Amino acid sequence: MTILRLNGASRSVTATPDTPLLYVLRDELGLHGAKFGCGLGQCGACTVLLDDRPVFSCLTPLGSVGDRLVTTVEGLGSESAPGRMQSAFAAEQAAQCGYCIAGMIMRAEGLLRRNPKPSEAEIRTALAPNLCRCGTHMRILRAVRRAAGTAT
Amino acid sequence: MSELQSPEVSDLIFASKVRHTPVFSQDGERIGHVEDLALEKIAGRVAYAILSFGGFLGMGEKYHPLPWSVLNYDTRLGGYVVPLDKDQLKNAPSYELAELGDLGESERYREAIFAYYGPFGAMPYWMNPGRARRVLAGALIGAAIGLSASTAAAPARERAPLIQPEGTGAGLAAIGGCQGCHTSANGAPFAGGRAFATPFGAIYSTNITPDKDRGIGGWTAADFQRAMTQGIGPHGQRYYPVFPYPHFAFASRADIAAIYDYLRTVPPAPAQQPTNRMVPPFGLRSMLIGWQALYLRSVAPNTEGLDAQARRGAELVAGLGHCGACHTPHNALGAEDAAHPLAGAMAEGWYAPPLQGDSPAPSPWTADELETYLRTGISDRHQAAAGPMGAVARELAQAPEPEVRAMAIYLSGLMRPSKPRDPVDQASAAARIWPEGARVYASACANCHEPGAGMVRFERPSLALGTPLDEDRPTDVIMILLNGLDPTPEKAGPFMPSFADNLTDAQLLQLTGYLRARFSRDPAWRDLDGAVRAARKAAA
Repeated sequence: MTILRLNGASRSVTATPDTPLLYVLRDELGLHGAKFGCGLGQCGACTVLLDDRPVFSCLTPLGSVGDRLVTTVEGLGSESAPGRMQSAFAAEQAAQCGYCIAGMIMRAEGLLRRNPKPSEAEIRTALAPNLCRCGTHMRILRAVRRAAGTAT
Repeated sequence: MSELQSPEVSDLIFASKVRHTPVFSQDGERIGHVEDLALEKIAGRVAYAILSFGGFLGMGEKYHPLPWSVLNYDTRLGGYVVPLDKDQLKNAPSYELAELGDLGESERYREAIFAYYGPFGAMPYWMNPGRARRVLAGALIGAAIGLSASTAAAPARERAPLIQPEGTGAGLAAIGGCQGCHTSANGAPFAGGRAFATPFGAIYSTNITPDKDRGIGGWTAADFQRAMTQGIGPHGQRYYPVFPYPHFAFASRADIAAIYDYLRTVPPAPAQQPTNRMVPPFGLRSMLIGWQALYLRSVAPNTEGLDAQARRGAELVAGLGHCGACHTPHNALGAEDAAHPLAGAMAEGWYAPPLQGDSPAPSPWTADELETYLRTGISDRHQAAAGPMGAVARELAQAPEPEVRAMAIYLSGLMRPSKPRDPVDQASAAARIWPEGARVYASACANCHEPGAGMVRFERPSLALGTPLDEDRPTDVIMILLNGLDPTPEKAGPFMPSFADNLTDAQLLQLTGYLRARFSRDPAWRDLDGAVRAARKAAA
């Protein structure tokens, strides 16, 4: 039995400590925002926040989370009350197929929590681990700038 | 004859305009004038400008044949500037009027003249420029090879030592790693500003673009030679030894001249590097005079019994490549331990392993494998280059292939294995000692690294083949886990994600212990706890 501090609530899960966090979120808790892309830490579709740091949840053992706060895209807001990053992505129509977008949003959210006014170079460097196969990168960048209030 | 008035704005100039044009030393001192030009009879190229000093420097009535390629017209001075100072000109080959007539009769003249002016950028007039640089550089590498064997009929390619490649300055600059150190994270290439944390304070690399004010646009070739080999700037300022001039002192003058030529072609950038933040008293540059006197000590590599190619490799490893800057232990004052070259040392939080008989590599480095590793950052019988070595490999990918081959031949000879053995995989024994490490491995590592995993099937090497797990300390293993491999955007190369935010310190410790027990025959590392803390600090 492991207690997770997840999206502002405490959840107890039964998965063994060596289970990747992504599987716990999707299979045991039914949170399908984070996606399984590659399982190798190379695409970023599974990105969630541990405290304010983005991690690949596919490579994060449940047992390493400890008392750190887990935030998934569901924790940022809902359809009726979206968070700032979700609103910005919607406003910029930054999703094509959408598979990468939850990971993109979480990595961008982590960036703004640590650095509220990032430069263009800082945004690009921060988002580099996350891949979008559809090619909406320019819209994703605009969405992050919009959320940071630095859109031009 | 109106067309005679302005052709020098194009690529031609009339001899009548050249005669009697004043010539200045690099210090701007007028030292004489062009008395005549010597043309190559058949090809029609200008071989020499014959300088008359008119006794100006007390040199009597001797004439100096100056290779045409060292003359640069300076519109401000209204004359030619040569990249030599007065004394250097004084010592240059010179001839009485009577002897001057024999200049084209014997190759010994041109050999003497170009051997002298080669380091100042002279291009042999009897070759085309591409070949000239190659052969000239070769001539200066060793006495055994070079121009003495040349004849007018033999093509330059055959005379050129096979190890000296398309010796462009760009390729040599890549071996020197110039760009890696002289470029900041988001800065223009070669514009400097990258910070180096040294025990003596933070030192920023300088702007080496041709910008006149902020870069080295105002430097002569001789200034550059002096800075590279003596650590002294054009105004006499001393450089900190984080700039590896003690190594560059081993580089041939021709190689350095080629790099100088190349750096003059990169886009100038007006970037000013931040002011160094030195720990007192190290901020006093005058102190560096003593420091340099103590530590600019060059111990030549032992090249006894090596063939020309391996000798070239030794020159590059000890010189331009400055491998010892990371791989040779340093003393408390930052000087390399001359008694233990390439014996392994800490560098930027990483451990640069021994590159000689103590190499811990579990499978011996052959020249072929090392060449592949140096040029691609990965070898299928070893592992991927990590940490600062990743950046080195990215630069060496731009270097001339024969040069990297020469380095690989020399280094693989140095690393003759002292303890060759087969790779091991003791999975169940390791899991008994480090159960938590085995669990972390299963959830975070196995997807890529377990035998049969996709990455391994696609010819990525087994962890058992990597050097870090056989090193005498766990530093590199933990640093790789914390930093990943090459997470820099827009750079090609082997990739591994960072686990700094995924794993706790306790898990890092368990995982490191497990990996060592599973994939190495060597005894368990001591003080993993301290090593994890040190690596966290270095990676922060």
